[in-house]
Amino acid sequence: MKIREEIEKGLLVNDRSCVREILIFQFRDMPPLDRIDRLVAPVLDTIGMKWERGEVSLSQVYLGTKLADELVEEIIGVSDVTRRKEPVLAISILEDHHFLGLKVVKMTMQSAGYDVIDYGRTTVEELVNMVERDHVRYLLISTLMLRSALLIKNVRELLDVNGLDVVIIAGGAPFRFDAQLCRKVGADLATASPIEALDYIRNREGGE
Amino acid sequence: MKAEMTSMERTLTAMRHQEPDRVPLLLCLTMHGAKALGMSIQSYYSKADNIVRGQVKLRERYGHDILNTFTHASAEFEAFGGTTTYYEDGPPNSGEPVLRAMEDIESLESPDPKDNMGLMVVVEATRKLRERIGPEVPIIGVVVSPFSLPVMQLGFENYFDLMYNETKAFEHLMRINETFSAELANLQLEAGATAMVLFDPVSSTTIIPRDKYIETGFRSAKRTIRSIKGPVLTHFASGRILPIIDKIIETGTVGVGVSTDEDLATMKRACGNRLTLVGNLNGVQMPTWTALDVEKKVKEAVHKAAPGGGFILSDNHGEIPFQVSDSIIEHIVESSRRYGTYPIKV
Repeated sequence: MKIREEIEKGLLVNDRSCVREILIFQFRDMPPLDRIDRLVAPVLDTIGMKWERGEVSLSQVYLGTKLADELVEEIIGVSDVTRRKEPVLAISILEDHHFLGLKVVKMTMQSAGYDVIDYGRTTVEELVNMVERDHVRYLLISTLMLRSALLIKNVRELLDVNGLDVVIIAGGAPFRFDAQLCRKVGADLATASPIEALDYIRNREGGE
Repeated sequence: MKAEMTSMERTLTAMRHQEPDRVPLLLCLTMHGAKALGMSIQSYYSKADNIVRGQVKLRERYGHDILNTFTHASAEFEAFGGTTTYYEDGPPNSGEPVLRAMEDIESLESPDPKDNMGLMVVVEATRKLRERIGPEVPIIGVVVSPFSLPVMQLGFENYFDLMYNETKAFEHLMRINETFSAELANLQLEAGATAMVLFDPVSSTTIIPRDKYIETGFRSAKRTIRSIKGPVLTHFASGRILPIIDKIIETGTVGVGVSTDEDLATMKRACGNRLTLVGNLNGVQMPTWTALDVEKKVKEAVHKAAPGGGFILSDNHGEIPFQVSDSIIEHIVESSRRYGTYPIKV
């Protein structure tokens, strides 16, 4: 679909006026959730796949997702649509001070119409306490350093000790370079693509 | 079989794109020095004498060709007012960004590396290590590139916003960082480093697209390399570089670190005799490798990149993770000697 290609191109070069023209004006008669599901989400999906194949860069993913998030906010803001609050999704980083991955994943989930609780930077213990308090079903953890990735094992163990049935989705550089790391740390899914994480959640929730 | 060369001869021959006696081995061992001396990573990095003892002990154990005095990237961040968090089993991490507003960048001045204790530990360690090991072993120094330093100074996302939207402030920050990086590199070279590694992950196409690199990181790298009074290799910390390799050559660098994401044979064809390739064993996978895995990976890398010289066997990221055991490192050394002896039997 040519229009999606135009949106993708606009997002990749950070052309706000072009993408806004399409999403806010050209398709103003399309219901808000349809605009998100049929125009924004598939384009972010394509960008995510291109990132995995090394065809687009992190800066393009970040700036494109940020722009999409802002425009989805604008679409939702003028409608009576609210973001999905179930299942409960939360996101955090462990020890790292780099929030980029967290922001990209969060914005992708929001662009797809989901509410995401953002815990920011936490310790293992703080994270598990908040997950229990908020009844989190899907916990997304973004990592940069190998050490942070290995801490996910501690999260899993503490969740198990507390009897919490939580799906852990891990992401970040260490998982891109070691396919076995996901299993080693007890995550349910490790992916470099926020869209793959989104699809995984949707499939587990019955393909909504 | 060729006569046995010294580590210096082996490395320089390879970098001249000729075949030495065997493939030079660069083990990027930093934290392992602390492990070898039985001390915490923080204590180890606090004194030049520790680093010298650690590097010498590791070389006695493994006999690798190239030593380094790198501690951690956050030492440079500290010079700009940043903080560092230390861990028992991983690299120190930089703290909260220090440049929070545009005014912070506008009023920023280039700090003198000599005023920072952590950086002077590195310079002092280089001087003492050179005295200790003599002239026949290459020592590489490391500086974070002026273009990649802002990831710590501002945080990734703010840096992207600056790079794409605030050209004037971006250029100002580059000039400040370039002065600092060149000064730090030259101090290490004066202290006895054979060559410098410019650590520049942000320039890779994993992080920014080619057109952005040409207008930003490329220009900064070219200016920086021109100001450094010695040979410079550029490392992209596992980032992809094939789409910008022609421009990287133009920066004046003499070699590049190659990611596991890229094929060494393809890189070799793209670079010809213009760059030495350094790489590309997967450091993240290394902790769980078996002896057979090591053998297979070393053999593959050597076969693809070693014929004709211009290749240094190393990891792909520029630092071997703390979790990699001594026995895996020993297997890497053994395999590099078994399969890396010239002429390479492909």
